[in-house]
Formats: sequence, C-alpha cells, structure tokens
Amino acid sequence: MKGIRAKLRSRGRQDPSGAIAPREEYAVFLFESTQGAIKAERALLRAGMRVKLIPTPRQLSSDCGTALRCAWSEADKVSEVLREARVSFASMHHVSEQD
Amino acid sequence: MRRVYLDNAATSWPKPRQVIDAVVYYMRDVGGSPGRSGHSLAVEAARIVYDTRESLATLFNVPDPLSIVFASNATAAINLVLFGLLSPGDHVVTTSMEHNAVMRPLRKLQAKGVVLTVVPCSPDGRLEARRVEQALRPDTKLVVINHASNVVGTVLPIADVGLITANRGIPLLVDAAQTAGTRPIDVQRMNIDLLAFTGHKGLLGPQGTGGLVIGPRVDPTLLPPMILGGTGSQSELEQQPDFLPDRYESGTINGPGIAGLGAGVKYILERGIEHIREHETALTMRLIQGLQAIPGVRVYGTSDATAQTATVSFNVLGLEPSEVAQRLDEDFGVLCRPGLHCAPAAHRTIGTFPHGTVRFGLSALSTTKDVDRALKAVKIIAEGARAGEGK
Repeated sequence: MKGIRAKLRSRGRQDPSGAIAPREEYAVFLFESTQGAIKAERALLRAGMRVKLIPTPRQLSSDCGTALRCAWSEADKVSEVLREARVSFASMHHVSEQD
Repeated sequence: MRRVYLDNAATSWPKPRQVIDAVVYYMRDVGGSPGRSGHSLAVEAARIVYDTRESLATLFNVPDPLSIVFASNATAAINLVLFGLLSPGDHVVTTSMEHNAVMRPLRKLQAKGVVLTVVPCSPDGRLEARRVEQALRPDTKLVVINHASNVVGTVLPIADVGLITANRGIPLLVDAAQTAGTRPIDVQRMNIDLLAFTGHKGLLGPQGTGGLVIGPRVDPTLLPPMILGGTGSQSELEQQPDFLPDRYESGTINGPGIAGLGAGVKYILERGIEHIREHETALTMRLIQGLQAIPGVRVYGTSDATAQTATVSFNVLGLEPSEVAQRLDEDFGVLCRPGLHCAPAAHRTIGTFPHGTVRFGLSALSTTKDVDRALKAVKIIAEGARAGEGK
C-alpha cells in the first residue's frame, strides 16, 4: 500500500491541480461510506486510473464526507472499472470548474 | 532473568516490530479521524483502516472487505450477534467447550426465554459434528461454536458443522479468538456466516482490536447494532444507516490499534499461515512430549499437536495450578496462566473444574529455547512436589 500512497504524492507534485487543467469538467462519484470511497480509490489506482479523493462538494448533498473525482472524459472508464471491481457508488455527478 | 512469555492464548507478546512501527506511524504522522472530515490526514487514516480490512479479507477469504466490521475484541463481536439475532422463544445450539464470551451472553439470553442446547464434547475437547446436527430443531436460529478451545487448544470441525448449517439455512457464528492468524480460515469454504475475531492474539495486533465478518447470507437489517451513533455518513439523517461497515461502527474507531492490527495481518500473510502453523505445531509437539515425560505431570487435551492450537493445559500432581504458575514466574521467569481461563464449561468437560489447569500458550514468535526453558522449570517444580509428598 505504500506504493499507492507514493504514487498519489508524486502525481500531486507533478500537477498541483490533480491531473486536470483549470476550467476542465469533472465527474464526481459519491459513496455511501468513506470506506466505500477508499475501496474505489484502491481499485482505480490499481487499474492505472488518475483519480483524486476530495471532500464532498456541499451542493451535491453527500452520503459521506469523501468523494472521488476524475476528469469528465474518464467517467465512463471509471464507472466500468468500479463495476468490474464490484465497487458500488451512490451517484455520479457532472461538475464544471466555476472560475 | 530473561522472561519466557507463554501467555499467548491471552495476549500474544512480543509483537513483530512492524506492528509497533505502524501504531507509532499512525500516532505521529497520520492522526486524523477515519471516515470524518475529508481532509488529507482524515483520508490517509481511512486508507490505513481500509487496508487492514483488505488484509483481513485476504486472510479469511472474504469477498468484500467492507463486510468486515471492527469491534473492540471478539467478545464485543459475539455479543453483537447473540443479542442481535436471538429473541425469547428462539433456539440456539452451542458446545460444552465454549469460553464465557459465548456462555455468559447465552445464559443471560436463556434467562430471558431463549432456548439453549449445549452439545457435549469429549473429555479431550473434541466435537462430533453429527451431534450438532442431532441438536438442530425447526426453530433453531443460530449455531455458535469456537474454532479452537482456549483451554486445551482442541480444534473443532468447523467445515463439517458449516456444511450442516448451510444445508439447513441456519446461520453459523464462529468464535475464532484462538485461531485467527494461526490456522487457515476460509469463510466461504467453511460456510461461516459470522466470524468473530480478536486482534491481540494470533493476529499479533494491539489489544482493543477485533471484529466481525458478516457473510452474504446475513441480512444486516435483521441484525441490529448494539451501539448507535455518528458514522461520518448520512449525517443529515437521525437514523442509523443499514450499510456496512458503518451500521456497526458508530463512534470514532481505534485508528492506531487498527493500524497495528493491519501490520500484524500483513506479517502473517508474508510469512504464510501454513508456515506459521507448521512452526507452532512443531513447538507444540515438543512441549506436549516434554511435559508427558515428566513424572507427576498430566497433560490435557488430545495430545496430538496437529489436532490443536499451540495452547497446552497441564497439572502437576500435588500442586494447585496457581502455585505452579507463581513458582514458574518467580523462580524461572516463565509467564503463563493458571485457573479456569474464563471457560468453566470447558474445564467441566475436560474434568478439571473447579481447580483448573496451568496453561502454556505459544505463538508464531515463540522459539524452541522458550519451550525447553519452560520444560526444565516444570521438571524442577514437579520433582520438588514429589520429594515433598515423600516426606
């Protein structure tokens, strides 16, 4: 698991805004529990996906305090990986960068 | 005097260094509240907790790590199931080799109208699975048995019982306090619906850790939690969530302990459960044979190291177990546990109630040297007792 943590950190250093440039569109996945969100993160990182755990945006009326974000263009692939890994999520939302 | 710690059936010690490092890392560098807040240290804490779940899922062959819920120990997990599933009028089956973690809740429930059948085991602690089958009734709600005795280490035929209960659609609760981390446990192959485990014995983690594996045949809505409260999820609702693990994990969990438990389980996975079992079996065989060779010592249980855990009970003729234990500690630095071991039913079954036995419990980290030093000490004590008798 140390490897996964290290990967997360190095990705942050290379690109402080996550993998995504400003004004990009995101998919935000919500989960019943934080442990469900972590399970999803583990499955997606193992599949080589670029994702980030974020505090659940308030306007999305959360199930739990931690959500998972990826580029909107990756949303279908992320859903597919989660389905294959049998990780269920509560909902998926399309979010545009405001500024 | 170098101490020989042989009380591993109560709490394993020493712990692998990785376990201590993991607790210290969590306390010093992480420290956040798992499942709360969502900031980076809270998320890191939640990752560590999840990783422990995942390692346990690998060890017990649990399909979904989220179906493992943490509790403070096996006793808490057992209480959750017994008080959650059993109502007055329900029938429950257990064995005569159970620890009080099972017996006391069951006797309390019996006083409230639950019907209890205690299936007798043989004097060496063995259970015949067919006797469990004979005890089942149409209204049997649960079968609860230990995987191995905490007194004599005798392993019960869980897979055979699991086949019977699965065929009848009766949930099987297994108390794995004495076997988790020291013998292979496969909840799917053994048809275990509910597995209660503790973190501080064979799993080599800190005290105050443990939990329950909740199998797919158990409906969480029919198993009410004992403790309700904040889970970090569905915070807009004033009702307890139904989903796992949050339903059974109200209040902030023991993060540092679970970090240490995760390191203990990883140590076991890396060393290999079969390798640990072989190591313990070899030491247990040496211990049993050594004790049997000392005149005036009686060993209980099957005397077959392959049919039991690394826990061995014995008595020295003419001495109370407490006297033997005190001399072992004071004169030889050998630490063990005398008495009834919180298991009066098991001691009645093996014929040692109410005096009890002296119990030596080995661990994955015990050595041949430990066994030999303990044997030498028992030999001297037994010789002294025989000389005293002769006067």
